[in-house]
Amino acid sequence: MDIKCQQCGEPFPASQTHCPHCGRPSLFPNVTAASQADETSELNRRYRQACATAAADGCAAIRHEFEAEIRCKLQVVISTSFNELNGLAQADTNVFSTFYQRVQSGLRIPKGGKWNVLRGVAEHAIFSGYKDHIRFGALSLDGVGVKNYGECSMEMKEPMVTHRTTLCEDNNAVFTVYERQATMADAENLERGYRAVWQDRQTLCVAKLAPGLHPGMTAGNFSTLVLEQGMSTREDRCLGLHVWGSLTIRSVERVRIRRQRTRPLKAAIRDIERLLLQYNVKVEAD
Amino acid sequence: MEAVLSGQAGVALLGDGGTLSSIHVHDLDTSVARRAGEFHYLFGAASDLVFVENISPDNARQEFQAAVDGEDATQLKLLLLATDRPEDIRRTAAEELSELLSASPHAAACAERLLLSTALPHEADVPGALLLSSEGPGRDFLQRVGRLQPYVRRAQEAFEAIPEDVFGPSPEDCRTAADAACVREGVVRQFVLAAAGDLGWQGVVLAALQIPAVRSLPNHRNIVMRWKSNLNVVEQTTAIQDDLSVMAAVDAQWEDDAGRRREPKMSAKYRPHQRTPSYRSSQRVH
Repeated sequence: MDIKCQQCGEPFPASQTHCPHCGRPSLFPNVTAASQADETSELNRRYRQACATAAADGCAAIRHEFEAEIRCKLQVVISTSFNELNGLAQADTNVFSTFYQRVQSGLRIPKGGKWNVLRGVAEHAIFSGYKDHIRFGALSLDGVGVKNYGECSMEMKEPMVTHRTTLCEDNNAVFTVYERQATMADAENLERGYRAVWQDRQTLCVAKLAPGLHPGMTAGNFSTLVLEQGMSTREDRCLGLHVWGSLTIRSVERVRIRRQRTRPLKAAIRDIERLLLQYNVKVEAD
Repeated sequence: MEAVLSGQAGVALLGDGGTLSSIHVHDLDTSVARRAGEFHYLFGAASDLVFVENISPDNARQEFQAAVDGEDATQLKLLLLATDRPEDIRRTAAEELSELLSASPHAAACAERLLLSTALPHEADVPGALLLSSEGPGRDFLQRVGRLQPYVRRAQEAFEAIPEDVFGPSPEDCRTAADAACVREGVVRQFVLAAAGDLGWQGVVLAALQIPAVRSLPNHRNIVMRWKSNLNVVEQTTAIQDDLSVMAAVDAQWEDDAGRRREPKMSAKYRPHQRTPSYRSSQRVH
């Protein structure tokens, strides 16, 4: 897919962050892809259909309430391990790296197996040409991320990330490969209307989740509708988040640490609280 | 059954006839079905992965619990010794360490495998840590590690003094692999205790030469014997006959057992191991 440079008017691939002809910066490629007219029109069609179905089922009011809740309280949350959080907390020059950066730098050895193949297919299809730059998170109403990806939930500062964040119907590999049965060859023709920019978050949430709404639901029920924790990553149900580019501890608003049995150690939590205090990151530990 | 254990990650991945499952530090009795592709999510950047072959589920759980307790004791001890940490955090670490060692008698020995593998840095504050620790197993553990420091240094120097040619055709790789195996299997700890006079040399050497991971090293007998000789130069000539008889006994026993156990592959068994001179210094830098 090509886009036109806003300055020189020449076409260039949407996966680029700079115009190769005049060198001026462009948008974030994931945001560009989710902003395309065919994506937004199909998403809006799904949204209108979901609204109509909800109204027919007597759920119009609860749909309005849900949508308002999503608009006001939805957070970008990235799950990570305590060890990785500890690494980030050591200095604001430490960057939260992507899976592919860890592999390329030799810090992580890629394992074979089906999931890696699926990951490759999914990321080629959704982030064609720029998968190395994407950090993954999930939408959350209560600040808790997907627990299978780590005991620490990092709630990101909205002004630091939302301009470069896009949303996907589910975990991108689960959605692309399992649900849509996409292959590498399908990358250009991935079904439209299943991703959105941050400003359209409530549209995607309603399009996906309206069938789960029913009269009598409370705001508390919305959290589990948006993010359903599974026993394993395959069983998690969430709206996937893709954040372009680097993140440091200064991108983080709040951290929630889930302590189970003896881990993380109490002294280690107190130690990380001390480190995070200097960056004004709030810490909550169970 | 085969298992991958990590005390740092708090996860054990168990493989049995193509079926994978994981157990976690917070619930040892519940196993979760896994796919190979989840490997990196489970273990993250953990640097203490141990690959074990032919192990029963119960033994895997025991080994895993020991690895977790050892890792926790190590981290608490390093926090307790750190002069750059506030007193309240060090005191919390002292209390938690004491609780852990009271509840888990094997934790101290497991932690010693790493803590006795390299000398504490000069800034480690043993006297301060003792003042912050009340009477009990935590304080005893600190005193013991402090008392053994001269022998830790001697064992380390003796290992480094083993000539390159003893390690075979690729001495650098083999030295690293031997170091990792000896730390992980507790051979370094045993050598330190023998050098301090807490254990007898003959038993220590006999035990070391029976460990499959040590036996998988090229020229393993020469490595062990040269290391011991470097540590114990005075006894070298008088002990040589004893050493030879020990080796003959070990080899005879190993050949008897050959039909019942499998030699591990060195490359699959251990990865280069980073020793831990300060709290979380072994973790990945982002």
